[in-house]
Amino acid sequence: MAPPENTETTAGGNGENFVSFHLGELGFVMERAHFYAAIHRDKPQELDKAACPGLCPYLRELLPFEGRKVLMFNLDEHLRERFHLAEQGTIKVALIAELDIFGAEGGALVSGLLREQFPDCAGDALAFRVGGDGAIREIAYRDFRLLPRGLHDTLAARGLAACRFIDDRIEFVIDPAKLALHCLQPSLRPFLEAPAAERIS
Amino acid sequence: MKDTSGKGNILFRSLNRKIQVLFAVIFILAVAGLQLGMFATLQKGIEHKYTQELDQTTSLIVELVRTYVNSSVRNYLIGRAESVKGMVAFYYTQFREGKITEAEARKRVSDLILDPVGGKVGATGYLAGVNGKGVLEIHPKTPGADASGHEFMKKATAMKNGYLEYDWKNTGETVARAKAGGMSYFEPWDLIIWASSYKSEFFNLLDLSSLEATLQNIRIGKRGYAFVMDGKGNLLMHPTMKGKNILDDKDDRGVYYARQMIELQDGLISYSLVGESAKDRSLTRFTRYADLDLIVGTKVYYEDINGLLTSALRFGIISALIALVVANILVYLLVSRLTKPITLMRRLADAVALGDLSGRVPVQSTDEIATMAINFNDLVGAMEGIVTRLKSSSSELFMAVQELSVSSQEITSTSNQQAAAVKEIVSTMEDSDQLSKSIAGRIREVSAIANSTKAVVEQGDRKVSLILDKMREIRTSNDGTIRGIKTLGEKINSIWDIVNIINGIADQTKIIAFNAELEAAAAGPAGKNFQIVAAEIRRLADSTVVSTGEIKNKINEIQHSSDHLIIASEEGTTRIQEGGSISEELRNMFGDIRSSSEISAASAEKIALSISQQVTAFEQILLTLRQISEGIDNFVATTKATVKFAGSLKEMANSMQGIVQTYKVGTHG
Amino acid sequence: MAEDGLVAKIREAGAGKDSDKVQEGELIFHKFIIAGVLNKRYAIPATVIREIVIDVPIHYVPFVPPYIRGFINRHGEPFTVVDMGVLFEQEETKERAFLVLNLDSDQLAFLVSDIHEIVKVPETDVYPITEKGEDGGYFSSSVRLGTEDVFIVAVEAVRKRLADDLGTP
Repeated sequence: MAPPENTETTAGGNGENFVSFHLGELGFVMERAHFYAAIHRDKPQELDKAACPGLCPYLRELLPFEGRKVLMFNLDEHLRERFHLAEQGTIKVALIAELDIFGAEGGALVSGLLREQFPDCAGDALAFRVGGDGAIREIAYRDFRLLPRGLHDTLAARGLAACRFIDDRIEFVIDPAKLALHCLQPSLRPFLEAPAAERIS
Repeated sequence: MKDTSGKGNILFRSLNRKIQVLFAVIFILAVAGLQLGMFATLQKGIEHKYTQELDQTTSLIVELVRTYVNSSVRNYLIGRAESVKGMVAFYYTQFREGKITEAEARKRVSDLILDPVGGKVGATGYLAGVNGKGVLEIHPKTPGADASGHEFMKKATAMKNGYLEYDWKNTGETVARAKAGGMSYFEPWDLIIWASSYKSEFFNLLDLSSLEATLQNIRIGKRGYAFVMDGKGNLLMHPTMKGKNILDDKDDRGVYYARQMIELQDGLISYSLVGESAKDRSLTRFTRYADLDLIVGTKVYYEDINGLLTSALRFGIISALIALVVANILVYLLVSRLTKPITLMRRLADAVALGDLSGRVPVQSTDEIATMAINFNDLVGAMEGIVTRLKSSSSELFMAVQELSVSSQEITSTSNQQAAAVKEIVSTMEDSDQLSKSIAGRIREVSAIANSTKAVVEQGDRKVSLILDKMREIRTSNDGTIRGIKTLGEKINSIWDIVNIINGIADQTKIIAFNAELEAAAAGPAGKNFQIVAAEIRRLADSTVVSTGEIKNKINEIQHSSDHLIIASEEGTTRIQEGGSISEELRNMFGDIRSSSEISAASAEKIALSISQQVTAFEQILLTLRQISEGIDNFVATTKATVKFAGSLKEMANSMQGIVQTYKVGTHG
Repeated sequence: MAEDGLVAKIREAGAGKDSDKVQEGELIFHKFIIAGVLNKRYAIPATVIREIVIDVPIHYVPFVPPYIRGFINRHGEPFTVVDMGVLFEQEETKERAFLVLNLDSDQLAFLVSDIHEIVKVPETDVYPITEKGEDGGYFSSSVRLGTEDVFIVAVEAVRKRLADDLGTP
């Protein structure tokens, strides 16, 4: 299904710039401040899986960027699998983020990982692959709703912070660092998974 | 396998024993022959040795006697002459001392020499005084005789001292006899003191005790000894019979052995002494010492000679026996070792005879017996292969024969059934033949009837066509009715959509009512008015639901009715169609019947003709069937024989299998 | 004084305490929504229900237990959908009737098969089904409706289950 047209307008001053993209009918937004570059994903280099067994399955490609190689986390693939979405786009965009988006502890983990497993890569950046319709939008905070209290803490810890409804569709506010961190720390992987459930019909 | 263990001589029941016996016989013969030869040789050798020893000993003794006698006599005679010369020297000294006159002194010397006792040397020997010229100044028989012409006297006067041997024949004697003289010269008076004696009297001159002692120490064997006998048979030296005269003694055979010895003078003689038995016979080597006319002899007893042989014989027999026992043991061991494979082969042969072909002889060497074992193994292997193939073949044969037997029996059974069936067919055909003949008659009757039927059918056919046309009209009008009803059904379906919409509204209304009621309840007293509104909405919802329920029911009824109508119409249509088809069929049938009845009459004649042809054909078939039946009967008889043959074959195969099964085969490649 | 007693009663009634009970005369009545979950009927106290909606889309969310089907949108707010069929019978509810709860501490909605009726029953028809202090699971009492006893769902028990599974207070 084609991604929806962006008909949202926000009042100036109470909003923030967000990166938004869609996977099927689901929308995802992330704080734009996390990233310092967005590039078209062009001819990434596949990693040798045999060289790093047990690695997170979404760390499969190296992205050439400014003369160096940046390890890329396939955020779109990860979200597709989590939300049981089928759409496979062909146009991919990658967002480059510094390691401080992981926080102190997380940043140290990722930095160590890069240093030990990927000494040839840039040791201070990670790329996030997103959907082909990525765009920057200014959205007011008041438009978002926190997730219900009973689920909020659990979901926020896993990178789902809030949401907003646009007509019959939902748009999640995600924290890419937390989403990625859970993949990089297998022990923290989610143990509660909902079955293949309702889709927006 | 024949049991030969209890048959035959016990010595020849086994190869080992045979070999042992043979070996023992050969050994004994060989050893006995050897021993005999050896003993004969030994005996000869010993005898010869003893003879040689006797010869040597006798010669030695002769030489000993000679030497002793000669030296003793020489010394004696010289000694006598010296001693007399000493007396002469005494008397001369006395003369010179003036104690006596020279004549006195000479007189005393002459008296001394001619003393009838002191002047004798031996039996007939004497002392004499001979001057330097060879004149016998002092002589017992011929004093003053001039003997210087004799050769011996020349030697004597030349020698003046010493010993001299010569031959002398006294006047009146015909033969010169050997004599010997000892001399000692007294120079002042130029007088050779002469002591002479006949050699034959030497023994009388001597002290033979040392010679005797020497001879007595000579032992030949255990009892053998040496002796010396004079020419008259007197034993001059003998360990036990010294001085005895044995001239007239004879041994147990009557042999005068002493006389024989004197007569023969040299040789070997076997005799036993007087008083001795034959077992004391001895072998004596004797020879004559002519100078002294002595017989010197050495004897050895046969007992001594044979004693050595007996010991040797005993030793030989014992050692031969020991060697025989040891050799037999060794032979036994060797033969046992060699015949072990043969024993194994024998056992295996027994097993093969009993039917076990699985065994093999272990081959552990490369000699002829190993080669035989290999050949034996090959033979058993070949037999095993043959028996195995035979087993397999016999099984196959048995199975084939079994199948043959079964199939033969089946064929027989089938043939019997076929024969019976053919007989039935024949019977049936015979019946059919009869039947065909009666049918021909009936056909003629049918032909007449068919003609009359034809007119009736034509009339019927016309009536059916009329009915069909009517049926078509009814069907057309029925189809129109059905189409109308279906249109109605479609219109009713569209009403359902409306009903569903109304249902949805009713549900929504109901929910609104619920929510209104909830709000009213939540609002508490302030929600009382809203409660009224909620109740009205609820009532609206309920009545909507009821109304839609009724609409549903009505529509259902209409639908059911129209469904029934459609069904009924469709059933009617079906019936009309069926009626139409039936009429159509009827018309067709009438048409068929008409054409059939037309044909019938013409056909009847043809049928009659066909029937008669068929009858003929039936008769031919019947004939053929009868022939087939006969053929089958023959076949049945043949198959019965085959079954019997198969049964015999089966028995043969059975017995062959039984024989082959007695053989046990192994898993050798 | 009679007026104080009345005021007190009015005040008490007006304060909204025990508003789940309606007193009519000497009898106290309770209101329940009777909902069908799969093949069974359950009663939910009317006071905890904010609204009833049907046929609204459920937005799937990961990382949650299987009885949480996702969120529904109620006036721009996300409400967690708890599938009562999965919770009680381990079988998904195929229909889409939602009881949106009226909770201060959370935003919950129960997914049920059908809404049957709203009933008002006297307190005497409400019976506890456990001894005092005993854990009855999701049901603490039942209500007599004619000849039928319908379990009353204890909403707190459901919330507690959620909290236990997600580790949230």
